Amino acid sequence: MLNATLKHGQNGSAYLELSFSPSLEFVSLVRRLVAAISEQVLTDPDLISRIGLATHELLENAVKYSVDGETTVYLEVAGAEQPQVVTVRTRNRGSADHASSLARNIDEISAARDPTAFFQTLMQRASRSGKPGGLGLGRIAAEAEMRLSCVRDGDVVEVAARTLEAR
Amino acid sequence: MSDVAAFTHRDTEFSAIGQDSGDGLVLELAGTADARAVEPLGRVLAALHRHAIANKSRTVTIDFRHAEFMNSSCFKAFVMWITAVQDEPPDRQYKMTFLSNPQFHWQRRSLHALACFAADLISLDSAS
Repeated sequence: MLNATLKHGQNGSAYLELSFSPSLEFVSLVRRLVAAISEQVLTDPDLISRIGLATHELLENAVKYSVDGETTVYLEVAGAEQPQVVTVRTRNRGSADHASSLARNIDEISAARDPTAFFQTLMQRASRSGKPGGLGLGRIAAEAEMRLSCVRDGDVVEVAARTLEAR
Repeated sequence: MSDVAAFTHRDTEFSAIGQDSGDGLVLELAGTADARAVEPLGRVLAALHRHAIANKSRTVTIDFRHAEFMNSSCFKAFVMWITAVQDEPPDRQYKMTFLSNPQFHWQRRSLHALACFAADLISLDSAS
């Protein structure tokens, strides 16, 4: 089951909300859908690609660690502001352990002065430990050039990636 | 070129086709390397590495030109492969060339990150 809400404002804004039962098979489909909608309101193909990358990485995390039947992804393009603010968010219920690990990873990535250099550190760690260790989140910061944040409300975890750059 | 089954995978979303031309190994990737591709990609890269070492290959080319997308887990599979090459004695290490497609924007940053991870072993070549 996949439920979608799409709003497209006259000022170039767009809002997409997709809720679906966790399925890794849906993730690439949703990435393509988010990219297709982004193309309607954004003109920079590089930015659209970065939004797709962030959507995919956040969504795979959310689907992997969701403890119940639902994951929601939001895409918000605020058209009235210049430069446009583009935000990708995921929301799901998760275990306390996973939420704590996620928050630690995001805090560490956010504290890094150079996300690209820190991504190399994460690659080194992954190569030696064999564990992911936030590689997908580091990729959002380094390659998608988006800022990460995480909010927890009980067992609900919401992770956001936001860029202030839009062309 | 002869197709090398040990480092070849094909499904509806993703394929990794290995070939040994005699001059060097080539792995052509196509489609979407998402969570479903992690296991086959890891297996293909491990087999490719074993073949390269056994045959004393000097170069391995990864052709990403038809790779629409790659997630971080598949990206990590490349990190692990590169690390395996780095862990070989210097005389057994081989060079890696990544062919990219500028139309797939994710490749510019992702392949650059991989190249920086092993700058002495990896070169990038963009499709014209």
